[in-house]
Amino acid sequence: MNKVTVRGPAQEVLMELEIPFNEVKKGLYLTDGPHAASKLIAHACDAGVKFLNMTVFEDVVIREKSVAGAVINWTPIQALPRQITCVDPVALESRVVLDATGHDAFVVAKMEERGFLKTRGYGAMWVEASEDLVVEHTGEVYEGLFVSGMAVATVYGLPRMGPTFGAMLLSGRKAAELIKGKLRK
Amino acid sequence: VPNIRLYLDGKPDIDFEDICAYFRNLGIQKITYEGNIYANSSDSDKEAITYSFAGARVINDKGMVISPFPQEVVYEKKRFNKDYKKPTGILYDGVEVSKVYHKLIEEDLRFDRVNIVITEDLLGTKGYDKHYHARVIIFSYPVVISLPGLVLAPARERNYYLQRMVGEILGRYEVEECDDFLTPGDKRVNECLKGYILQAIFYHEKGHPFCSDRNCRLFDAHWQKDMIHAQIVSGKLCDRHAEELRKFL
Repeated sequence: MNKVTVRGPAQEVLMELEIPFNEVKKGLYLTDGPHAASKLIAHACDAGVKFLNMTVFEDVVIREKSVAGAVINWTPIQALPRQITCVDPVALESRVVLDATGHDAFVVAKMEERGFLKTRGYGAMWVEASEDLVVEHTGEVYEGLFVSGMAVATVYGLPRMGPTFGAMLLSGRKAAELIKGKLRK
Repeated sequence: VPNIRLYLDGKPDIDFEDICAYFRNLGIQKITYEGNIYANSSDSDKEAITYSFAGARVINDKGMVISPFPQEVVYEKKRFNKDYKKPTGILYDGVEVSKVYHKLIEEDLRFDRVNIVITEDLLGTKGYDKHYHARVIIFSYPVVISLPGLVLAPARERNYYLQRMVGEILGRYEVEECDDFLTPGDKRVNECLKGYILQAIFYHEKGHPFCSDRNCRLFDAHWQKDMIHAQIVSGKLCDRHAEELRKFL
């Protein structure tokens, strides 16, 4: 199976979700990618996450200077001729939107396109530095809009990370905790 | 010789007693470690400092961040937490950072004092090629010495980069101490700092901190090997600068 590297202390997440791994050298852990991904998805579903498969992000919903949802559509309309894809997009309203779309940072890019903020673009690869910085900068970038994972590097101009996934897990967890805090207010 | 005052920004593992003892042996008695540079800052000072650092980040060669994001401000606020260990990876404009420190110790800036701030931030300034380059030391008032700069600014041997490109020494950077270059947390940083503090003293006294002799602690090293040679293998001033230092005394 394809392998995934995870740097400490993110192995704690692997342990918590009972994903098998082994330590290849001090502070560096190796796990099977498909196994890890499957368990992450399974635990998310167990926690109550609902997936909208085959959907594409099209736009943001803005209410009173705050991000208040996402506009989505059916994925195949991107590939089919316009004449047969008369499918209107759907606006999903929410109190919080999390952009975890990787380097593309689709939601933030849409905000930038609309002139709400200006991203810096990710920097050159620097694995050791990037992991800590991505976790440190995970948070709310605009009222109602959070960023996690590599979208963080794109927004703040941090070094890109390379093939290691520890900060991805920890950034996701930090974003979840921050969002939970915001929703409780 | 003026009074040398050492300040710290961050929480590095530095043996200030060893540094002060070295200078006292050289005959420089007035050297003191003043502690954390933010020790006497008010809350409003800290607020302004936070924004200054967030705005001093170098994103690309075109310049610094002008309008920081809220999360960048949150991140910069952590520098006031004494137990917080900042990660390396953000390059700050050295001139802007020295301005922040200048404001903080404005009252201490006198001709009979050499104020030196040792920071855990990575600093850079624009070179003649108009690109940012990481620096070990920023000659200003106060002089700023960057600890990550000691590790990252002087280049390693060409072979290191070639070998790294083909993955031969992948991982060596972070786990091993190597004779040829400093690594993060390297114990030799303390010894190298002494040489850069000497450069700060000569900058203050003469306006010119460097020497062309590779065996002198004032050698302006652009390569790790040269820095280690000047600061550790040789570990002393050349005859001319040793004589000049005696004249200061």
